[in-house]
Amino acid sequence: MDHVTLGHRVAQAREEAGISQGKLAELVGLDRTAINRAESGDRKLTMTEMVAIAEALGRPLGFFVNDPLPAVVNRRRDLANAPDDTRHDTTQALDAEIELFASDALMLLEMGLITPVKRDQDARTPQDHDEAEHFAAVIRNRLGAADEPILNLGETCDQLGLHIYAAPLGTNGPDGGCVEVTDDVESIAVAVINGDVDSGRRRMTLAHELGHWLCGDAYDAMAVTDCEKMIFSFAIHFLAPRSGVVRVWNDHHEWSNRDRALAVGATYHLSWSAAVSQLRNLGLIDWREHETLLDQEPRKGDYAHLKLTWEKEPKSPYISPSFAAACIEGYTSGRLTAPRTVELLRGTMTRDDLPERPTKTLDDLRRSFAGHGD
Amino acid sequence: MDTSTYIHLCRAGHASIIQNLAPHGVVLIPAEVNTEIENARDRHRGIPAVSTVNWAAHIVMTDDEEWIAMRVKAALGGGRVQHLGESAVIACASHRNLIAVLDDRAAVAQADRLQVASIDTMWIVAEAYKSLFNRDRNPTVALVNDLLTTDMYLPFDDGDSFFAWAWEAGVLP
Repeated sequence: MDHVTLGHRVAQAREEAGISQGKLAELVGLDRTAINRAESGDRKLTMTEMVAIAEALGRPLGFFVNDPLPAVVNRRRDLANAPDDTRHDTTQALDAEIELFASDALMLLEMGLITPVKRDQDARTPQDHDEAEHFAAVIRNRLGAADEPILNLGETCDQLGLHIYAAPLGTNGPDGGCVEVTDDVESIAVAVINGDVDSGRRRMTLAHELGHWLCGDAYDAMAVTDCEKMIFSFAIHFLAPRSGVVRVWNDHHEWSNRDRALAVGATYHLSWSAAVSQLRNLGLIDWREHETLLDQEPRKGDYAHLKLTWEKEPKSPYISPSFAAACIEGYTSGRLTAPRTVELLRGTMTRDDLPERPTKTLDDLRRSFAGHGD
Repeated sequence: MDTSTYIHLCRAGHASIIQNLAPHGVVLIPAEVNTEIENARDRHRGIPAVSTVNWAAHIVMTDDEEWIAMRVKAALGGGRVQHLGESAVIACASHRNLIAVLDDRAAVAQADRLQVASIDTMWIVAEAYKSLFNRDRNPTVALVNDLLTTDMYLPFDDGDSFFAWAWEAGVLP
């Protein structure tokens, strides 16, 4: 981190907040020239000034001062160099959220509040659809999910070491991104997904990011087009396994194919396009019917008419259960302050939602009696 | 040294303990802590200005220390005036390879994360018992009682109960 980078971040946040240099200067009690010089890296900003600037711009201080994790740097570099047809959709807002969430997760990891998981170091991106389906089945078996729907995908990702934040990135925003927090054998990854898009699309994105993490290419945006396809293939087989989809399809044989597709989508919490595509992948419908059904996107009432419903998760604001638990544990043990805990929880809780802190006991003093040389 | 230890030991009338236990008889006070001490001086008696004592010295953070302090402050959270002192103490201790004196548990957790050695006011009490009071119970009990009169939050009602616990728990040095 240097003054130039810090200045750029201040300028970026100020412009995104729609505040002029003069207004920011007024809010923090500095001269406009000072803000101008600071943004160009020509003037040092003190801690006190930076805290005031962060507060005025409504951003966590960490957004400005944390060094980006190596994985985030790699992701950004790969995205910049990736061919258009292999590039994940991204925006500055998504990048900023990933960077901040990864930094926060690293802090909780370093504080021992999050437990790392051992990822299979030999896992690689599947080479074909059969491998992708097999890999999805292996992961499902590891979870004991057999061919049942994975209803709480956020919790499932948690179990596999992928911590999620569903951020408000806009209905037309990017789908999401994922980075490894450290490159240790035992580590965690974080994914930020767009919590403003449809539930089925959110789940597909999340399963896709999970595939990246489990395959060991969390930030590999340079992966060839086929790799991206294989990760998507993993994702759909992970969400909607062949035997389960076939069973639901056959259980509703008296229904029209459109209604049977609705049943598959509702059972496995898939978007319409994902459900129809998986039916085609599994040979339950042909290409022509796939195209026809795609054009017949159902409305909410179509599901309700068939008594089909599902919980919409993970919708913004959402964070992984174990990430939330780590924050609360940090707070109740006194290792995190209340404002920081609320900040880490990203709008999912207010100060009033935090549990009571246990009263300090004499045992809390034990550390004070250590290290006296006796 | 952070604000809490400075103001409580001074208000309790035991500032000499800081001088007697500090390496070379001097503790370093970052400017951010000094601001908090000056604020406390406006509210309480018995707290000398840092510039008037020979056992404390002002320091200003270097550029490198300021970066560390900002990251610590980011980890501690809070508004414009909260945790600036702790952040500066941790940053200076980290960069200068010194021991941070901190009472706040969240600040201690950040010191631990950055592998900065830290002690707190009760550590100083235990060390005073061992090194200054020749393991005499009475001055230690008096010191703890005096600290309690400064509204320092401690999980016991008086020096005797503290001492009884420490004795039973076998933690006294």
